[in-house]
This record gives sequence, C-alpha cells and structure tokens, in this order.
Amino acid sequence: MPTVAELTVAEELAAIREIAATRGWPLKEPDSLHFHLGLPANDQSQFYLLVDCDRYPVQPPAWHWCDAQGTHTDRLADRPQGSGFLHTNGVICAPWNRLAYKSVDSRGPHGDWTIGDWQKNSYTSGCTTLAHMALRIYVELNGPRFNRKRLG
Amino acid sequence: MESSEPLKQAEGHLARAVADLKTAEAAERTAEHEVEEALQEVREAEPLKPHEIFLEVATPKGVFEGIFHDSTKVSAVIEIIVNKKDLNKKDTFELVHGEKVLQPTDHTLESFGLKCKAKLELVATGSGV
Repeated sequence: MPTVAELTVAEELAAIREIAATRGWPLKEPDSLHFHLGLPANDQSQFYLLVDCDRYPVQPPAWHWCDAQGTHTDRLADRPQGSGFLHTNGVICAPWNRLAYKSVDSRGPHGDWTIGDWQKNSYTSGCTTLAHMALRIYVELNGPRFNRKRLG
Repeated sequence: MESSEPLKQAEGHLARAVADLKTAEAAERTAEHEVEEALQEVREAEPLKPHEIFLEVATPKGVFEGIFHDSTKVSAVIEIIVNKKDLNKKDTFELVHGEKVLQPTDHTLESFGLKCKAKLELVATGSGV
C-alpha cells in the first residue's frame, strides 16, 4: 500500500513534469520518493538537484545539489554560490528544505527552527508544494542573488 | 504449504500489474509530450494582434498559457492565473521574467518591456533567510 509520502509526491510531481516538459528541464524519477531535476541558471550552466521526499509532507524534502547523473551529492562543484536561499554553507536555506535544519544536517544554518512546523514557518511563504519549491530555486538561480559561480 | 501457490500466483499477478502500470505511465508521458509539441506548433502558427502578448507561465500547478493586451496590469495577470489554476488565494505571488521581478504590480506588461511572447514564472514570494 502506498505511503502518504508516496501519494503526495505522485500528486505534486505532476506539475513539475508539465513544467519540465515545456521548459526542457531534465527530470528523472528513480523511485516513488526521489526525483532528480536539472535547472538552468543565468550563467548558462545547469544545476542538478536530487530530492529526497521520505516522510514528506510531515517533514520537508531534502534538496541536495548533485551532479548530472545524480550519483554524487553535495560536492562543492555542484553547488551554486550566492546569498539568501543560496546559502554559503552550500544548502538551500529555507524551512521547506530539510537540510536547512541543524538538527538534520550540520551545514544547516538553522538550529532555531522546528522541522515539524515547516509549513507554518513564516519564511515558508506559501512554498508548500514541490513545484512551488522547484520554481523558487529556478528563480533564485536566475536572479541577482546567484553570483554566477560555484562553491568549488 | 498449501497456501503458498495461490500467494505466488497473486505476487506474480501483482508484479505484472506493476510492470503494466509503469509501461502505461511511460506511454502517457510520451503522449503528453507529443500533445505539448503539437499545441506549441499550433500556437506558433497563430498570429498575435497588435499589442497582444502571449504568456507561457510556469506556476506551482503546472503551465498556464494566455494572451493578454500589453496594457494589462501585472496584478490582473496574477489574479487571472491564480483563479484559473486554482492556486491558494491566501498566498502572495510574484511574476518573474528572467532576472526581473515584475514589480510594482500596478504597472503594465508593456512597462516591463514584454512583447509578443514571453516565458514567466509565478512564484510564492520570499527573499531567502
């Protein structure tokens, strides 16, 4: 029987599939709780994310920067350099990213957030579905807060 | 022991059903892509009237497409998309074109230099933390 996380991901991935198809964003779905998404940035390069949706939406997904194949995660060369969401620690700094929580990942900038309250956190600002999150990351990679460089 | 054979048959049936489902899902994705390509061809063949702008907007509920007069305010475009895509009206959204956030929203599409066709994103507001 599918889990709540699997059902939620299946429902929410439909919007990402549609956007990816029209924009030419590479999207792979290795299993029912993980997907691999490529997003173009304004430096004409492509960034990739491997997204772990285990326990979603009770907990936010983990958005890992990764390589084009999705075999290596969180390498410096795969992470954008910037500010705001594009935190210098190499994780997306938002309540909707599990890696932003120090209790989950040592690079997480926030020890002050409670992971179970991620949807109520005022900084979530409506980013409560996978497509909301993917679009926000795309906008950040094409906005002024991206330094057009990588961390390594 | 007696119940193992029906169980094996059921498991085999389930495995075939899952395989069939995956095949069907792949075919559905292929068909969706073909439909999208065909629609794109139709759209490109349709001439726009003067002062009309064709917008393709990536939203949290998929893609919205529509033709607007260039004098339409950004706030009106956002309202239409939120209604059409049944997005949460309590959320605050912004339209983004490349590096540019289309603000203030009481300005027109034309004032942001949009012409003919444009690809935009509708995103929930937020500045990073």
